[in-house]
Amino acid sequence: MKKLNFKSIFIPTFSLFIICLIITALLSVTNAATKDKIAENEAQTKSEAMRSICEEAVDFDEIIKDVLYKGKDNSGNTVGYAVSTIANGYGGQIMVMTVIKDDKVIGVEVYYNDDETPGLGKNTSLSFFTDQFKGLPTDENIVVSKDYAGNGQQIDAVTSATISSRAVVAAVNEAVKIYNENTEEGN
Amino acid sequence: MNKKSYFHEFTKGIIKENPVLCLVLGTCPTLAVTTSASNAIGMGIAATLVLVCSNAVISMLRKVIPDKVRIPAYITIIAGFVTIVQMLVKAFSPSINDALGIYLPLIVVNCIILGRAEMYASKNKVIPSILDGLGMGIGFTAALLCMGIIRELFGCGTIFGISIMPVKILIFILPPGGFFVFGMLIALANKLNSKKGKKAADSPCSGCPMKSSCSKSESNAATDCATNGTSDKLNAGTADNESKSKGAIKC
Repeated sequence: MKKLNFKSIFIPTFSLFIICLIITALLSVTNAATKDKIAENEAQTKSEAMRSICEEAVDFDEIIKDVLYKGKDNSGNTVGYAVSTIANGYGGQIMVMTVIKDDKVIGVEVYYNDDETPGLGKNTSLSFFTDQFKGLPTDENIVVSKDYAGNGQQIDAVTSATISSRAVVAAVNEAVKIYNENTEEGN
Repeated sequence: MNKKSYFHEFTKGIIKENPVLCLVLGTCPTLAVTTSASNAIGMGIAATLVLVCSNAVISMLRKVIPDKVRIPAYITIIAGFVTIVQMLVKAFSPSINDALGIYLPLIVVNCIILGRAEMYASKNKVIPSILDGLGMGIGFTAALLCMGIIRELFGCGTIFGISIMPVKILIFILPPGGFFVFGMLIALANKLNSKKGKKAADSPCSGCPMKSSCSKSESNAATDCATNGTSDKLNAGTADNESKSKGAIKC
């Protein structure tokens, strides 16, 4: 066993401390330099998700901050309500944008599911899965066909990605609930 | 170092010391990511970039980091580096971020990065370390691509999304199928390596990843090998059955 004098303990400890300090400083500098741009990019992804489903809308009014938006066309008529909801998926959060008009779901877009397994849960953002939500009514609960108990609307989950699929369904149900409680159309 | 050995540092990572199939490093991302060929390429390229850069940085700092704290130091440097790259990519290149998705943060836990830092970059100069990183990264990507193509073809009937076979054997894209394909590829790599004729006079330890930390590598290695003689099989195929029964500590 090497002799445990002060130097043999102090120098490695101190070097490690300095390395960690430098890395932490670099990380916080990078974070400060990039966090605004990242927030901007995320807001843009969200608004692109809204526009891609609700094509007639020219502008969106924020009704509930970050959650409920009213889409309007050129003459100021309401063309749909966009609701942004979050659910817990397999690896992390899944963020879903649901557009609803006249008590019917017009479209669903999963705009963030990067924490899901690529090739499995990540496929919940593909159109073969999200197209199933188009046209569903807002007065019945939506369930994954595995959990179907007799009432409500069924949709098929992505094969081997049940948890991610259930999360998207939960997010859409939550969006429908927000629509029903907060808009004149829904009540 | 002369040109010939530079070239050797680069090519050894592709078949002879392929990090996935011979050194058996980075098994977790290999099994998880090879469910499709395009995922495999994404991961391979991202990991290669990080590997080259982290090898370069650690090689530059090798004289400065004290030996006792080298592992925590490497981990801090690698994790910090990957996080910085991730933040920069998220801010200034969102399209690349969408393409790589979760692969970028996953690279931090890829054993190949830490493994090569410890085995090579901490003991060699910068240019050979960069070449080693590049070779290992290419070998990693090649192995991932092979596995990804096989698993996607049999499991989904497609390659890169293009439908080829109507038959789908789902188990290939689930974990058991992954292990099966992985084992087959390791067997194939061993066969290719034994044919390339490592001389029988070579120490059986030369292909073994534990060589640098193994206390027995200087002595009569054929009988005392701490990895139970498994490294023999990587070489001329002169499997010494005695070394198995002399069973030392399994690494």
